[in-house]
Amino acid sequence: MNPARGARHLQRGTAALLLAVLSAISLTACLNDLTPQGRWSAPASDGNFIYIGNLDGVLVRLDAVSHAYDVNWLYPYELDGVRKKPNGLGAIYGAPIIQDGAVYAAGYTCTGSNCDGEVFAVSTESGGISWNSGGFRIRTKLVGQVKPTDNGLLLIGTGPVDDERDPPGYLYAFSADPNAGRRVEWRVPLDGEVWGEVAVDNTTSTAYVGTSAGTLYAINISEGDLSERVKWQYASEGAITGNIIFHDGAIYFGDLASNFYRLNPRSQSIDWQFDAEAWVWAEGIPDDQKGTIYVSTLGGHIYALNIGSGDLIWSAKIDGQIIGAPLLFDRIRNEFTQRVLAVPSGIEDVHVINVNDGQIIGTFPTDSAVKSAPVLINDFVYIHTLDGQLKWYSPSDQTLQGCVALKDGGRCE
Amino acid sequence: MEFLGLIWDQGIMRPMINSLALLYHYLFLNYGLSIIAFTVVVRVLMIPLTIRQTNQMKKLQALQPRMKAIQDKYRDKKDAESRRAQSSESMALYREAGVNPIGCLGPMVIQMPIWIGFYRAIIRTMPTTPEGMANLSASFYAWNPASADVPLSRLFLGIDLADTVSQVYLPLNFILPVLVGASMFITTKMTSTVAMDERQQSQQRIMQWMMPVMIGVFTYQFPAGLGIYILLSNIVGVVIQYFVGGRQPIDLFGKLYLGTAETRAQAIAAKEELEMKKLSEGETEEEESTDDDSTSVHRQERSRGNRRRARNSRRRARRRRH
Repeated sequence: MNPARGARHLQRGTAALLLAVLSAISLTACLNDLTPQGRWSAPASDGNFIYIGNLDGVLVRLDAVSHAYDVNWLYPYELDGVRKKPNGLGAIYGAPIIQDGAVYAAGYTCTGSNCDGEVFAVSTESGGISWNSGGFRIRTKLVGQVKPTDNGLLLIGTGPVDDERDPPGYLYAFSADPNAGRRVEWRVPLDGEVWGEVAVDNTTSTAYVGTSAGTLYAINISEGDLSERVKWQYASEGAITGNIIFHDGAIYFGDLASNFYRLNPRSQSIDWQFDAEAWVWAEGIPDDQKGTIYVSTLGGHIYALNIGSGDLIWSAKIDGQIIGAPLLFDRIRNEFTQRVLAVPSGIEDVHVINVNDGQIIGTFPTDSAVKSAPVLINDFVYIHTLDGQLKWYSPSDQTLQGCVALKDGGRCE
Repeated sequence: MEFLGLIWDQGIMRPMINSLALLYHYLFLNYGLSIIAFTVVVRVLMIPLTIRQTNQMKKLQALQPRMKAIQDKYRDKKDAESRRAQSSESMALYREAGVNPIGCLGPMVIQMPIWIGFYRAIIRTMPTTPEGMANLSASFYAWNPASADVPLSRLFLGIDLADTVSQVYLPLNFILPVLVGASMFITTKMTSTVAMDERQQSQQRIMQWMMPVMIGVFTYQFPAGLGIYILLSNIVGVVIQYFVGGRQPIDLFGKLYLGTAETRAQAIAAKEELEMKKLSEGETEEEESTDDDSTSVHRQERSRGNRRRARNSRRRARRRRH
């Protein structure tokens, strides 16, 4: 071919390729990066059933003993004749909460920056939606799990609502009564999005919520129409995205500036601050028996800290991010009890770590990434894997006992 | 494939994400300023390539008459042997002049992964989902102080940089794609060579219009941050090209803009020469014509038109000189 003509052909070819690539990425990137995927939901159980959010954002349940999938109990659904057909919310990140004969959960999805979320309560008996007229729909992100309080409220943090940029987040309080109509009791504007679970101190009627702007709010959750619900605020060094826990009179939380804090709510100041090596997302796990709190990071680090002083006792590292909270349990093996942590890896497997020295002493093989928290139910360790399966293992020897695909209840390969 | 993915991620995405975040950290925690600074840095780093491209273009331009002569020599010879001979003569010409016929594509080829990487980097540095946020943590280098600034503020002049341009407020959502298209049109104009024949000219005309229109349309669905990057990149590119190319005037819709007195005069002379050449070609064709009467009349009219245009052009050029 004539080189000049060849060059022109190549020029046209390059232009066409450029346009094709640009159009392809403009269509596909949104789907991959802007849509929440979920699958971080940990299971919860009332002893009879196991409840969990699946990969389509549908709350489903299994019999806790036979592990049979209950096809008649799910939410949200649409009726196909008399059959319930799943009609998912998109993504459920938080674990369901079971209280007073109802299961509470929240989920959402987004198309671009337009998000639709729903907080709902489903009867454990009938599978029917509580709150008379269905779940409470809010045009926002609902990442964290709902938190019940002793005074009959359900709390959940949100992102911006109704496409309004300001305020960037709220703390919503719903009436938890499943037989009442759905009702928002109050909401408090916050300075950032809330992605973690709210912590509650029922003795002082205070809720603690962290935002992506790095502010920890103490909110008055007392009944009544209060003009000001924010009691005080604490500014951390980075965004707070994980769960906050209230334990033994202190608040524990991590941030994306790689810090972990113990905050004294009475003095509203920090007791101690630990500098981790990467972002802290998963909640800290207090161990009263040892006087320790276990802190993990997205870099795969696990630290055992003295809960009183924040001093480092030992540290360990696994491959992969730690997003789901590790499970602390007593492993009984050959009549020998060993206190261990089951730490989920964002690459694959859940690693068993001896809490005495931080040594990895075993693995729950998952064949898939795990971003949810492992849970101990009826003498099995349950793990929700990122490929949408629920697997259960013997806690003593970590052998796989069974597996179910949460999308349709089919048995795994 | 996995290896390519690793190269893409470690060689383009991570450096880009870290550079953008680092600039954000030092530029008053402002992502808009970070994009502007990043664009300027990328364009400045590409100056050697732009110089090379401009030199190649000039050489190609200088070769055009000789290339045309080779094409004319083999115009009526369609056999394989003649084609091979034409090809080897052309290649010899390029070799002699030290020109790579596809060398001028360099900046375009290099810009492509930058655009795609930038598109991905904007979405990844401003995640809206928990997964995106967790993934971002793995993209930061351990030493990067900007990792503590996450989530990065997405607002710049009231625009959410992660939103698509279509979601930006009126009338900016329409102005931005138009500006991107217009700036790309000027860039294409500045980097295209003068066509020696009508076919080449029509091809060039299509390229000059198609690309800017398409990119303008695509911009409407791009994140606003990428739209701003492309616009800025084009503007900085035009400035750099203007100085690197020896302050040549920009020919837009028959009018010359910018340029020095000398370069403007050169451009006018070149235009005149081209028009004269076309005119003389038209006349030659007319003389050689043995077609029927209607075609002949048509050609005569065309020839008269060409002569009129050439006269007008000469008058305009004289007026400009005065």
